Amino acid sequence: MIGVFFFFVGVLTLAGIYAILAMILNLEAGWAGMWDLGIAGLLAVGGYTFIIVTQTQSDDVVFAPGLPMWMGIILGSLAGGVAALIIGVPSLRVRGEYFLITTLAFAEVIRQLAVNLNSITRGTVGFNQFDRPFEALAEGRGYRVLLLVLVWVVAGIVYILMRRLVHAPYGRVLRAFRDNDPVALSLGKHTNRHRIQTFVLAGLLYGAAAPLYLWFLRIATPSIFSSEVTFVAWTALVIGGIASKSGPIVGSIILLLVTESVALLQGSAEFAVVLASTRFIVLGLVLILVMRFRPAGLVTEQQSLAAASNRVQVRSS
Amino acid sequence: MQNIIFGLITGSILATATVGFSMIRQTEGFINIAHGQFLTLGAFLGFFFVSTAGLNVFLGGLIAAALVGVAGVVVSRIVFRPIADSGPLAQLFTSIGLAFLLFGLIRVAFGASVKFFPTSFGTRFDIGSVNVTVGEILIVAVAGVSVAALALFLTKTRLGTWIRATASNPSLAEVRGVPVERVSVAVWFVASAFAGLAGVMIGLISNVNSEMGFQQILIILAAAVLGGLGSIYGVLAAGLLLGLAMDLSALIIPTAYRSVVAFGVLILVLLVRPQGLFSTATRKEAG
Amino acid sequence: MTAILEVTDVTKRFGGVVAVSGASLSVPEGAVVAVIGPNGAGKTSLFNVVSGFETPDGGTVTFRGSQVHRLQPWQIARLGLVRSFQTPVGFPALSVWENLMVAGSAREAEPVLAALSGRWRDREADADRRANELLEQLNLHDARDLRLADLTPGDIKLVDFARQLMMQPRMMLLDEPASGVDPASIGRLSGLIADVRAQGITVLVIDHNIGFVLGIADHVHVMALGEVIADGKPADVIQDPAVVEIYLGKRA
Repeated sequence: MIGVFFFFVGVLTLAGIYAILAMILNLEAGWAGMWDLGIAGLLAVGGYTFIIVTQTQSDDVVFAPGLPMWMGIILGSLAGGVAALIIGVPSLRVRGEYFLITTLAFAEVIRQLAVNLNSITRGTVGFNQFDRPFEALAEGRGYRVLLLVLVWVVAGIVYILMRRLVHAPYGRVLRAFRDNDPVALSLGKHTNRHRIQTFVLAGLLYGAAAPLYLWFLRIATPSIFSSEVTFVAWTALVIGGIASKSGPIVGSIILLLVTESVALLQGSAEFAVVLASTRFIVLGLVLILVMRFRPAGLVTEQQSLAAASNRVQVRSS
Repeated sequence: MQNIIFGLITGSILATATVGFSMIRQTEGFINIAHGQFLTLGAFLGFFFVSTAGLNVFLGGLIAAALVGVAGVVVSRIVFRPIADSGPLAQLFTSIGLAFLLFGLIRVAFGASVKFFPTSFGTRFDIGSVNVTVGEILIVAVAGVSVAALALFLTKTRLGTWIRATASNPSLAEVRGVPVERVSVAVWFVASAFAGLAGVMIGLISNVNSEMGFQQILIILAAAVLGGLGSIYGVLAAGLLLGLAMDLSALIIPTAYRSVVAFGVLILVLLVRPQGLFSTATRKEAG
Repeated sequence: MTAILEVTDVTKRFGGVVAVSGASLSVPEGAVVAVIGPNGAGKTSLFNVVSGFETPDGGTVTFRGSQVHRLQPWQIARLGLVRSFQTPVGFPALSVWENLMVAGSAREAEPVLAALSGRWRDREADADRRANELLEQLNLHDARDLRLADLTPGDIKLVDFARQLMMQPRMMLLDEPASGVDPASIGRLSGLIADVRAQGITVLVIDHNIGFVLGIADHVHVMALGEVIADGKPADVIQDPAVVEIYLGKRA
């Protein structure tokens, strides 16, 4: 029973991490209409920056300054923002599916760089020795509960942030040019500047969230930043309801519970391969079914945003 | 130079893989990420026929490709037909779901281990300063013949003309009496069969493994985008170009960066000439 | 009266097709001017050039004394020249109120930091007040929180109109405002334009509906095949033989 308990602690922690990723993706894709398939790349930039600057062992790596954790988080976040700027400025010159393909290509380039720049990233071996926050407070498996709480506290903060953004004029303009770019332009909005700002903000946030992912997995290798991460985050967002506020959270919890619970079935070694594959089968089926029967997701934009009770009261003069 | 030969081999296989992807993009209107899984399926089926059933590699490959073609039609009717009106993004995400589903199913059916075709490539010989095997030449030849046959089919037959009409203007084609359903079935069969064929070829050149699909789909995307909208020749040229770029770059950059080169070319072209290298149409900004 | 908008010798080509050919017109401040002509005459292309959505291949456009033909659409809108679109789709997923509020903000880019800190509330108060007033005037107050996509096409057009007014424009470009409007509501539309003119806003209208145009315009320009072929007072223009010819179809 204890095993099952800690199993679900793990699943819910991962769900929390994906909830954060999905909320950030919701900002760029759901509200600003930028169909980004390269989030694994931005996550990788932030994650690797964090790991590299906080490493103290310097035997086989060129660069290991051993900075404190909080600095690592900030630098990781900044790296994500800079990467987003570098990727965004050229990519945003194309729209729709071509933007999608370009971001996917960039993410793959980043992953290949992580694999090949052995002297900086340790290639496919990666890093597996790093500190985690508040480790002194809980020992062994107890730490997993602490991490669960930490992740969901961060998710809560991100949720509040997103709620503020979407109800402000900023959020409104994003949703406007998402719906109709020419009209937004005709109303005097510099729509491309908004897109770049949003993309960079997303990069900063992905970079800041990356350490959570690493603390959960306890390793940092190129393979954990594959496009699978991108697709799972997208699936979570789509199920939960794109362009709503709570959709990303709802979708992540449901998706992760469904796909990971399959692992509860114990079996022989041959069965293990089948089990590992089942996750993908379930993930694929869920995505296909949702797109077929409820493409708007569980929580729609209308339910979440357009209700009168949500119209933030402005102070009258 | 040796690398040019490698580039030609890579390029012709890539062209074979991409030509079908491009057809689906043009006639059905969306990006099919699951195309890579059809490639994988072809590779595994081909391997099964050759190593387990003992068939000759040509026959085995052909049957595998045909089976994948049929699978493509079946899948398209079950999965994509019901959402045909849902817009390209819904269809794209469905194809991502399908890709995951097929990936998992293929792994369950064929296992996760890497497999090698027991086929020999024949004698090695030199042409000038270049060293090739009979097998490699045959692969390029098969790719070339297949694409040429496809081009003939598209230009000389009625069904082919219908397909081209639908590719250039789906709504107009329907209004003008083109049998949309038949075109769709034909396109899915051909596209998937070509993917399966490419899978067999990749399996022969390197190996057969379950990750092939996701590995190849990115390069296929690059070649399709590079080729631009329009004729088969664009895709062919783009495939060869990327293949050559990837293998020639090995002369100056470590071979590990092969795919980075491909994406680098893609990104550069998209930014400088968003309509692709060989398209005459201006790329429509979708959303 | 000074000209608020001067279009001088504008040419615009798309591939081999000449959409606008050496078109010139001048709009006096405070007037209501119409541009009429058959389909394909180049009217919408001219609008696109004037509002910055297309760059002319030749000629200049001057608004309030500054050259605008090389500016971005959002920059021209900031100067006070606001346009409508032929199919007024607006922002379908946003509510009617939100649609208006997007236009209400004076900034060209909303700052992210202000969004996070919530310091925008005071600045929005004025826009909120204006939005509510407009909704009252147009009898749309009950629809305030409905999704724009859920409204009737007629009401969507009204919201489109109101959205333009939220920009507090100096000049409005109206692209086929009467299309799809039932005859009974045309009068209301004319009334709205008259109200707008009374506030000192200059109006440039494209439309097919000759009756509607005659009712509101001070001055009419006629376009055919990309050129301005006639202009003058409405009553005079419709009797101009060249104009009659195009409308009867003798010239394509």
